[in-house]
Amino acid sequence: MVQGQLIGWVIWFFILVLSAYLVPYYLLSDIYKVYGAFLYWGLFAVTAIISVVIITKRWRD
Amino acid sequence: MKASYIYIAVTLYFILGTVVAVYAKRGMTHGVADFFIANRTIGGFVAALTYSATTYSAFMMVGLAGLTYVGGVGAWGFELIYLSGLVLVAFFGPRFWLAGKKYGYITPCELLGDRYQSKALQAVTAVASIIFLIPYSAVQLMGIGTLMEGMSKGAIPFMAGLVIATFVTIIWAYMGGMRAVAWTDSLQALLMIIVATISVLCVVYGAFGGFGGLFDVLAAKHPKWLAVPGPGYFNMKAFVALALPWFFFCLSNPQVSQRLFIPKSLGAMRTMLVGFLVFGFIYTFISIIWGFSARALIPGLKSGDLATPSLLTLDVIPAVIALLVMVGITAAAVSTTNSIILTLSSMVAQDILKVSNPNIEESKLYAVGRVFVPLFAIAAFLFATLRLGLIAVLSVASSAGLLVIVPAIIGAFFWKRGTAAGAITGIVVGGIAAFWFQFGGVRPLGWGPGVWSGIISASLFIIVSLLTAPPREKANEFMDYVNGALKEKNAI
Repeated sequence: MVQGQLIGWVIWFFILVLSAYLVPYYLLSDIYKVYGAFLYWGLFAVTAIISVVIITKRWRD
Repeated sequence: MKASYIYIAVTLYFILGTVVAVYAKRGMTHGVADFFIANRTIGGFVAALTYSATTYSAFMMVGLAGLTYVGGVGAWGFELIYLSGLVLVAFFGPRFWLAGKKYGYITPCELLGDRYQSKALQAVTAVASIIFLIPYSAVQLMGIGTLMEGMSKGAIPFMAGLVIATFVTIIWAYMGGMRAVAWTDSLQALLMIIVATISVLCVVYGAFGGFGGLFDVLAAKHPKWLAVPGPGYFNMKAFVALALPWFFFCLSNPQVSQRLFIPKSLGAMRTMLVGFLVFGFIYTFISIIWGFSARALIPGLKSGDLATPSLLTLDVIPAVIALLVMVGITAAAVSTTNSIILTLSSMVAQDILKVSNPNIEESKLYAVGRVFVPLFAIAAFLFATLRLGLIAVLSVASSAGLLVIVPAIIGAFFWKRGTAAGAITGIVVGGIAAFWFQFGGVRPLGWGPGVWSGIISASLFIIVSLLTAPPREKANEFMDYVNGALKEKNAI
């Protein structure tokens, strides 16, 4: 169960971080507005932060 | 700006920090664990702020703003990819913390040395960290000297700024070790973010009428700055070479990975991690907006490094705010430098001295480790006074250079077949390659040292490990304990 969750999260973060390299360079490279790469990277970071909050929420002391 | 104002502001900052350091060190014992990691008793809020202040140096408001000025929005992406690298703490944080508590580790090198059953690996990792982090500290001190010299228009000489920075760096860390550093870091982190926020609001609302106005000006006059590769600085290969090693910063840099030992509980570690992410997102946003504002207001500068000093001289920023920004940048540099120096001192005590003489008394370890706080600070000071090109090269190479430690760290928790010989080979050859590629401008297939050092060290770690015998008993015992404890704590 734990092993499966670990693999699932690793795959999720791999896709998320890969998108932070590929999307701005290949899909948004000619959008010269604030809603282009700037917005994408901002949303990417917020998604990463929310994911970390979800992972760590279940930790027990 | 008058030199006397700068001296007064820095003196007030120093007095306030010293009061906090004196308060923080109450009840501190003369133990090594207490001096270097505060006996693993730091609460979540302070842990979050010391993690933030240690991670974010003068680079943010000067270097990152400069990168934005030169290369545009790519700087935002690169820094946020670094921030997202903190997901690694969600996986490795509990592992470091549990193993540290069980086996009494004080430094990350100690963890590697014990896990792979190799004193040589422990010492090699410590030496590699010292080689790359002393020049990095020197650059921080140089930054303060240059900033004070620039803001006072030469009335405060570079050397005077350097001496002030070194003095402040030594005092708090020497006085109260991690307790004093963590609490003064907290003060400095709050100072950094409050001052930076006020200053950026002054610029954005004073000069553009708001954030919409700033982005309208950029879209109209500097559209390339809103896309990548944009003006050209952040081509894909340069971006990857920068962002890849920074993604692993939280594991590769011992001054931050050592902080995974300090929270008093897993709950405190969670607060540390989430608190840092929120701090980092806001501070990154501010630094980028600062760089964009400079591009829109003063587009003709010769270098990105001039963006922040030039912006501070504009009328839209009241003199008192400019002064506070200077103190905030000084705080960012000092809080990073004294944390690095404290970590390096702990490595001398635990990873070099104790390894060479396992029967040494704890009081002696404590005394020697503490003496190395001023010694390392003075070494960084001397490097800074030389103003050698080599320092800059080593400093730039530090992120790529320290990346070579990461495969051994991952292997420690996830690969029983990993060996000390593999780890040492990867660290030594990868480290030399990082320095050589950086210094010699070598770019195989067009990729920078940040990509190659990671590939070389990971490949060698795997290949040499497969050819040598692992410490099976220790690997089983270590990983069984960590995995069992993780289950108990409901961490993955």
